[in-house]
Amino acid sequence: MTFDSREQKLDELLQSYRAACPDVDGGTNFMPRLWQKIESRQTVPFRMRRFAQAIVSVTAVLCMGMSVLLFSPLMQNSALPSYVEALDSMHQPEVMAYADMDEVDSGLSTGGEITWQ
Amino acid sequence: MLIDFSLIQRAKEGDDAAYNEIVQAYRKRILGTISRLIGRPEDVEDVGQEVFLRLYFSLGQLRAPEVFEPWLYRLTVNAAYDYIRRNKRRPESRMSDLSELQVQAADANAGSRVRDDEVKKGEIREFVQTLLGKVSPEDRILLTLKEVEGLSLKDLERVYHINENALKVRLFRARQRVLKAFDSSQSGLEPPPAKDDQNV
Repeated sequence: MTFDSREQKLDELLQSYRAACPDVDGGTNFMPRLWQKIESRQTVPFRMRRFAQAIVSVTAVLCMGMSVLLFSPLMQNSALPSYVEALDSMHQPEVMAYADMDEVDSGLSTGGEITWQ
Repeated sequence: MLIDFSLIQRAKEGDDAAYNEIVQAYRKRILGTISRLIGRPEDVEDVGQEVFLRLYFSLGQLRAPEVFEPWLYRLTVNAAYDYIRRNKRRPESRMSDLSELQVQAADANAGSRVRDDEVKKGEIREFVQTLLGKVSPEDRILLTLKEVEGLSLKDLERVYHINENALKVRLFRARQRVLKAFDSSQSGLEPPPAKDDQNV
């Protein structure tokens, strides 16, 4: 068989294949089944979207509440220490350490036993 | 186009009645194409529903109503390709796969029947489907769209999103592979099975 005749035969075969295939219409249940599938697939994303919206709303409310608390004058006066207070609280352990050292010194000078209090 | 652009626009905006009209207009054509692409009449409706389901959920991504038809064909090709890939290993019994003894027995059984037009059509369907089953799903779908469905190169360009020259090369190679399988079927030799990585 030559190349051209093979090509021609294949073309004819494919053309007759189209004619040999029956028309398919899907039947009367096609549309109801399709809508059933659409609705069943719609429910999951819809729930997810609603859940995500709820999460976003709650987060937004929490953020607003926190920022109001953080920047309110009441919080600044009572809860947050001033710069001087903060420095003071940082130096307190140092003062205590000096006090302890005084006690150690006094123990050495009297020849007694060194005791750490 | 089987429908107005305004109908597509309405469906895009969420009008279910417009979507229904689109499905009714294209149902027969798409199901026919699917039946020739996958070659299994019992599964045509399921694949068709998958196509229209994908259409419903991705209609919002359609940029212009003018490209609706190639876009629908693209959804059809993708659904058919997914189906063929999923069912590649499903056992399938066709006349051409049976032994000579089994064919003789089947012939003897069918001898009493009249060989009418429907029987001939059935044989053609079976032969072509077996032939196309010997090449890769990509070759099978491309060749069916071009030679059986009658899509032009311009249509195929828009379906596959590749230029005409690349398409011609793919078509040529696909045709050569089908011709090879055709020759083997004529000489009675079985062609080698299609490889997964036989992309053109």
